[in-house]
Amino acid sequence: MALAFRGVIRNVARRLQVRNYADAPKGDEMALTFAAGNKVFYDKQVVKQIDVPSFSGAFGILPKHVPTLAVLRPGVVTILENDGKQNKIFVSSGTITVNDDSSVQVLAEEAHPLESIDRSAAQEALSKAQSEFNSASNEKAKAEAAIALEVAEEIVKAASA
Amino acid sequence: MVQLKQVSLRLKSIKNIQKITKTMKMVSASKFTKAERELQAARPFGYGPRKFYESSRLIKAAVDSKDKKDAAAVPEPVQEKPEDQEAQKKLKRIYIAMTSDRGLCGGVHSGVARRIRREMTARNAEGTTHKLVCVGDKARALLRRAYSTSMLVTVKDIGRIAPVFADASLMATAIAESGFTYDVGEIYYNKYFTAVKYEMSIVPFFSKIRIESAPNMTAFDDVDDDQLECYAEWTLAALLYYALKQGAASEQSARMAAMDNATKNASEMIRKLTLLFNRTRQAVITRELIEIISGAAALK
Repeated sequence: MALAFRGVIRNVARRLQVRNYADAPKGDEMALTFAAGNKVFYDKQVVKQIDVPSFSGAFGILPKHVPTLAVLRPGVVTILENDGKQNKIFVSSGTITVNDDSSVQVLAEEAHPLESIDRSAAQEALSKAQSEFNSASNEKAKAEAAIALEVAEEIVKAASA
Repeated sequence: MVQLKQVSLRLKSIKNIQKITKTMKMVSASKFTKAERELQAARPFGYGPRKFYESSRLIKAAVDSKDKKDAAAVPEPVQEKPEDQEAQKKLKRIYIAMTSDRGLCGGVHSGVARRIRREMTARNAEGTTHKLVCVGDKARALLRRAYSTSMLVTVKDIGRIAPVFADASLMATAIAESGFTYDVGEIYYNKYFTAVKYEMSIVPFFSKIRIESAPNMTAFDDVDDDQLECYAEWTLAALLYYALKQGAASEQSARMAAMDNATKNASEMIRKLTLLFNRTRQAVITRELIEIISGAAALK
């Protein structure tokens, strides 16, 4: 019951937000281009907010964000669309560019919506990555295995969240 | 007098050739639809970095000029001073020729090679400062003779199966590991427009140092050195992926057109040869008849 109620409150809050942003002038719009090797998720679509995990820490992007560059780290990108819908997409690696005209480009090597991630398969990948990491002989193989391990860990974390 | 046997052999071989070209056309048509579909997903990979280069004033051209009407209002071109041109000459450049291993697709590969040759001659390219990266055997074969000293990396096994992102990142790694520190690079590729139209295009990319010193970089937030390097390398991989996809789509479309033409030419030849074959056969029959009849007449 309490849970359901909380959901209602959140929805109301979201709706309020929508109104706020709809009233905002056009110049505040943020056009998002989000693509991965397998699919284009957003093509110059106007969204409200984007949360991205980067190597300098996770950060949120709102319209009129200061122009910046960042490198994606494995994790979940959360996109708050204009109609209040939240879209969570897992990314492996890539780049984020915020331009001075408030347009945002997120390019990822691989990206998949959270719904399509299979938890058990993720667990399997994690254990495989772990064993590979332990058996890596030289520095380079070790570094590669460490990256695979990090990705697998993040996938499992994202899938179980 | 043409021998009947010769004509029939020739006819047969051309019919076989036609079968082959027809099949190749079919195969490239199915590969083409796939390549075109995948190209849709790869388009932002070209758009994203170019947009950044534009907003940091590394390049002048307006990326959005086509879908924005106020294109005329966006940045006036940066004036090139004489000292700039001097500096231009000193730049270390990389030329990436985006081709494949497969031929029989019209002027797709030779167009790329020709353009690179022209640019390199215009800039008086020397082997030490102007390096070549050949993607696909065709580019290597076309450029090896003239620019053997400039060869940096050659990539094989392109074009057999559809390129994936891992291919692009492998290439970017190879370029990064080659030990050549470049300032700017250009990817020469065939940009796909429609099934019957592709155009040789160039997409530039920049090294970390160039990005750091970009005219409008001050507008951007501070970025760590590591991250910027990572960003530059990843951007190169993204652009390579984009160019690979564009190249694959235009190559398949060009091959489709080339094979279609070859099939048409073959049917024309078959038509002519069939006519010749029938005439020759008729002539042989007539000659034999005449021989028999005249022989019979002589016996009377």
